[in-house]
Amino acid sequence: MKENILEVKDLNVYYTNKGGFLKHKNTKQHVLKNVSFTMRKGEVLGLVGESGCGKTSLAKAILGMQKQFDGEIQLDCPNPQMVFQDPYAALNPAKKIGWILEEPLRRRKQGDGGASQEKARDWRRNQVDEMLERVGIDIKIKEHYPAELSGGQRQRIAIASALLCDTGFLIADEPVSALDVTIQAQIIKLLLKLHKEMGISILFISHDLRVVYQMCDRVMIMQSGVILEQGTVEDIYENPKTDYTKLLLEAADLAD
Amino acid sequence: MKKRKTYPPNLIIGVIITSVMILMILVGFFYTPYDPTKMDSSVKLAAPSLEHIMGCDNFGRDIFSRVLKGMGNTFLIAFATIVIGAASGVLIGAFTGYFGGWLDEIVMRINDVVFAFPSILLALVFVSIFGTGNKYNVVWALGIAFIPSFARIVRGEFIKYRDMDYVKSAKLAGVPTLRIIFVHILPNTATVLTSSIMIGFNNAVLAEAGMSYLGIGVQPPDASLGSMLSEAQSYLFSAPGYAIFPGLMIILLVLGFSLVADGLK
Repeated sequence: MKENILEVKDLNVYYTNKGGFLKHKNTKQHVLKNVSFTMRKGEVLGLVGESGCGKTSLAKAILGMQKQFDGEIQLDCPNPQMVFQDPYAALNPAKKIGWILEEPLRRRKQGDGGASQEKARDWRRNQVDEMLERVGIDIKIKEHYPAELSGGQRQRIAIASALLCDTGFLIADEPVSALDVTIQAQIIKLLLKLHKEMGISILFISHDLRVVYQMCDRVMIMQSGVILEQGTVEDIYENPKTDYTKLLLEAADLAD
Repeated sequence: MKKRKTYPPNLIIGVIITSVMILMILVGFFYTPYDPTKMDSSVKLAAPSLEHIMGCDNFGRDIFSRVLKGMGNTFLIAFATIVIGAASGVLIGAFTGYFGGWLDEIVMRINDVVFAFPSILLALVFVSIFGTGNKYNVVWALGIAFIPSFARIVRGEFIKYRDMDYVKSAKLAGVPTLRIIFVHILPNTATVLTSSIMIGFNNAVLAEAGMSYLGIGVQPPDASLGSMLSEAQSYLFSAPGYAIFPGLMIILLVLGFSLVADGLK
């Protein structure tokens, strides 16, 4: 078994504005500059930086949503998943929760190859019920539409749906920034619990150093497409090497 | 206590009118009080009476029977038009909106050209290409003329939804593209699609009536509401009922659907 689940080497991502008819601007934006890091299996790695510094671009490149980049990305995990920032856009409003949660299971191969339709359906329902229990939501919610749920509940469902894809690697892109503080704490607790129980590796993207402090083993600080420093949470928080990190820590009132 | 759902009055009135209309259409398929094409010179242009509740036309045919039959024809043509227009429009709109790119540009520019003409004018052109005198040609002509408006609406919806986070998660979960388009995104367009189908249906009823009025839709002796109006115009003063009743039916048909569409919003 390989030690590292994710290796990123000299990653450069450019966004080109192709222009179009009557728009001849051909600007090129360099959003990620020589980004290199590794992530161990079963680790929670924090990625901190201000809005627009390239955090989401990095996530997209890792997940293969951003096809054009220079450099190397090696992900040792078949179904990388993502939890998005906005819990209101993360669930299909036209479908019931039960259907949404079963959808990734319809794509998965079941253990006993020639299972009948009914057996497969039962298997899916069991999996969904189990996962709902895991994320701490009553199974009655399966009959509801996303519009009837609160933000925290939706984010739990989004996490459940990502985990039902049978993944070992999860990117959480600001999963708690849209929630209020008490719900934030619950979701973080849940992520940590799932991390412990299921051994998934989490790349936790955030701009909130307090949250990262609670969640992560190691942390990377990013500014305008460059990783300024990386190290264990204790190291970075106690001995920040760059002014930017110091600024961030001061802003979060965590300097000591 | 269970909360009772309240419906807007528009919807209730619309549903009542529409159901009466549909009931009349259904009855008209199986039963009419008189043969709608049978002529009887003794009751030429007769005023409404107990035997002929809407009176008789210039050939002595029972107007009520012809209205029942004509509504069926008008309804079927409008319905088929919408089926053709909506189905093709949804397909075109879904693919162009979801994939974008040069295919989208080309198809939408063609769409713009077609859209620039009033649909009834366009349908006239198509009918003259396909040949007049056959009501299926009218259906195809109207259907094609109605495609662009549906394509445009559905495309807009798909552009709105294709970059939503839940579509991204579906992609990450490995859901095939066709399933994303038709199972994940299409149901979200239902509200918009329903009201445009309702409005489109009204336009199709009016377009069919207009084309039959001009003599290129349903051909005599077969009846449609539009062709009856057209025949009636020479007898407006001698037999006003001949024009009033088919006209009233067109109004009720369109009004009913408009109210339903409005109430569903």
